[in-house]
Amino acid sequence: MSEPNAPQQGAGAQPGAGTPTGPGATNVPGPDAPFNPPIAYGEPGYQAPPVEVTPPQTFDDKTWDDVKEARREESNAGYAPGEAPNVEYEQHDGPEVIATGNGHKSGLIKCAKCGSTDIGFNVVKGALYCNFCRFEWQGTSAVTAYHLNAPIGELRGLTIGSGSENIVPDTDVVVSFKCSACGAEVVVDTANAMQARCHWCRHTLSVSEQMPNGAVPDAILPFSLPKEEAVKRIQDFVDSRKFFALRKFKAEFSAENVMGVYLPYMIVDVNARMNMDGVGEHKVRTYQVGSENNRRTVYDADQYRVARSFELHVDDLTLESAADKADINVHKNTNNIINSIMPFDTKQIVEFDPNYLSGFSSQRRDTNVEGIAGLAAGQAQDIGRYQMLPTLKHYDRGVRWDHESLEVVGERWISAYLPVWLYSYYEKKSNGNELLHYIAVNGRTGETMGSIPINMGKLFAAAAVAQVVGTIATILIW
Amino acid sequence: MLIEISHVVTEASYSASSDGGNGEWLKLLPLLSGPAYFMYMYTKYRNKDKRHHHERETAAEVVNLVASDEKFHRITGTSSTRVQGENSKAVKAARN
Repeated sequence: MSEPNAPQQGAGAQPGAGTPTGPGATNVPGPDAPFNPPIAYGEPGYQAPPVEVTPPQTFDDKTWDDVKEARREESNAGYAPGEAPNVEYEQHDGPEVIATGNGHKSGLIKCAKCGSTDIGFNVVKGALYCNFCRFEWQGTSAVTAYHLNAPIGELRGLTIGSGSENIVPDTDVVVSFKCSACGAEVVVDTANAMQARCHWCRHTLSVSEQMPNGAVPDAILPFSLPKEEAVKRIQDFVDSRKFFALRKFKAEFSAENVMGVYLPYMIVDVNARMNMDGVGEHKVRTYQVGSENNRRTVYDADQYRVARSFELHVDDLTLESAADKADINVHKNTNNIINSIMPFDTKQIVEFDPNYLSGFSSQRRDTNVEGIAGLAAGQAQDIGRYQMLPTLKHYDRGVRWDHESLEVVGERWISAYLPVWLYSYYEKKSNGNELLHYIAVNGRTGETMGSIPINMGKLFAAAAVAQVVGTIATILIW
Repeated sequence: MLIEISHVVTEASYSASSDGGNGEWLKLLPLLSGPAYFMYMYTKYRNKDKRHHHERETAAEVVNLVASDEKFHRITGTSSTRVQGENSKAVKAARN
């Protein structure tokens, strides 16, 4: 880009290609001149077009806006080959990416001690172990490895893990690759599993290469609650709700059928600026008015203009990133049960290793950051509103926020598999409606919640009995 | 039937409170025992109301708080117990 007071001759001007005499000077052939097709760049005889330079006198009576306009036109005019300046952009619209793939390729993951690929996960110890030589090792903390503990207040713009990048729709979910031990073709359906055993040489092959299909996340939170404990919690949960449970459910229920599932979530840190203003009321007097037969209580209160402005640092906001689980509608499904067992101790996430999935199933992420960024901002705003409650204690009649704004300054998104023990029961009702009931146990904290199908006839009968008893009691005490 | 009973109790509570608010209407509460029992048991089994309380269960920190509280008016003789349109505990971005 040339400056207004740049030298008359541009650096790339070709002396033999014509002498520019001022703005707008061009080498346009006359109407009768024979047409000579232009010689393409790189061909013999190619000559770069002359560079047009605006003489500084042109700007003598111009304003600064005119100068900027001329600069803009010059910059849009394009550059001859090799003339383009080396521009370093300080800001860009794309996200900053934390590389969490570690260059892993799908295939064999070997025990560091003996080279076996038969690796398991010990839930109680939280350790991976070799089934062959019994060597045990712990995964690396993802928080430390990817510097996820960097201060939230320093976040600017969008930062995402490489395992959280947008899903490319045409990317295959079913991955096939050659077994690096024997060369046989191995197929893994990443919608449900991340490992497969080679049919020929019996080696375990793992999908650990990050592909834009949402199968390999940035991190994983391994199970720490053993299956026996999950079975006990589910059994206790159902035992306390058996009386009105559907008879068929009681006959078919077996807590042993619980499944360990790694579900996909996004873990989000948000650095935001929040402003709120409204009206708060503080009660100053309570008294009664009216005649003896029509007395009522009334109040005097002071009204305040209340305003709060602050920086909000939200740490590990956790959002479902599987569309079917994120669709929470209590009239159609029981996904709210899975939602309710949050939060997880997400500070304990480790680098993703498919061997943590050994013996468990997993569900692929199918939601992008853009799809739930609005929800994350909305939930951050809810959190900010609740963070202000301790500052509103003076307002014993409450506060009405008239205006709220939340500006996200920076955010960091990490995709992770989080552990859930899941018992499911499919109910087909007599009216033809269907409902999948979940009983879920947090695979880390043990928090348990569930939905039990109800024998509605029995419950209505019991409610009717309660009504009769209540009515008799009312008659007796009236 | 359930709606009718609750309507009777509500009406009775209004008439009782206008008689001096001596709590006589409390004696009618057992009339709601049927619907109350049904709702309690239904909720206990189906847990439709359960969700992750992100607004309380997510770690967060507030920095550089600037607060302003300016008294501008006194209202007298209002029968309302809360500020109109209170929303300081509103949750707007829950999944359900």
